[in-house]
Amino acid sequence: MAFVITRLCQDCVDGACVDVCPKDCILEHRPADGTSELPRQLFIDPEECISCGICVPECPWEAITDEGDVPPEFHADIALNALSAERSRGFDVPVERLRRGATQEEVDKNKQRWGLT
Amino acid sequence: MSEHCASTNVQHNAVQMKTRVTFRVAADLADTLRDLPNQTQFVEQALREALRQRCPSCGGTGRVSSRGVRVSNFRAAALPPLRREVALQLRSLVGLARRAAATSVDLRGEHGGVAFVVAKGSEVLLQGNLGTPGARVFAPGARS
Repeated sequence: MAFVITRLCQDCVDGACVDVCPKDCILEHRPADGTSELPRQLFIDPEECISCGICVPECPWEAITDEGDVPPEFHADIALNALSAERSRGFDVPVERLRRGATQEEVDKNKQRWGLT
Repeated sequence: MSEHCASTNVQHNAVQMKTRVTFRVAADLADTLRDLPNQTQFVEQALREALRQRCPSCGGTGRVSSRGVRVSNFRAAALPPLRREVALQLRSLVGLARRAAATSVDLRGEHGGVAFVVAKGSEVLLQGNLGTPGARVFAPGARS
């Protein structure tokens, strides 16, 4: 069982997790033609994840969770992350890192946006 | 030779009876095999040795890492949670293993830290500890 980046990452894409992942298994969808039909977020390749969990405290948006702890509302995100293993084309380690962090107020507001209280 | 021993030998020979197996190989390999004086023994020994070994690419998992090197899974290996500085050390180590064309980084928890072995197939390239004071790295074959 791997870790999963949930939709709480969408449009936040801080990237702090990328710098600590020992396996380089946190990826963005960057197809050659430049147009991705996937949400703008990062994904964990479950086939490569070694379940070290070091990415979890790094994410300022609290977007990363153990696959077994993903809230029911976000279960579709497990399959979304798995795409990065099934469709290796177009997925790569992000080049840019936003790394702006987030305040607790912003984190709470983002959770509310996605239906978490 | 005692009767018991002779009987054992008969049983042993029955078990060791050979079965013919036919398979295709590349032409150059076929030429090399034909030149061998003991083809059956050679092929049988090579197969037995290969089957005894864990696959160096997948480590017996059946899946080959698309990112070059197989690293122990923390849950499967019951490893302790990583501290940030140890994670960064491990990240550097995996990068080094990739550059050295290693096939595996095996980890195990040891004395509050993480012991590692970087290998290329069955050849150990580097071993040591992460996250322990006075951590030491041992490179087999390197001159001290």
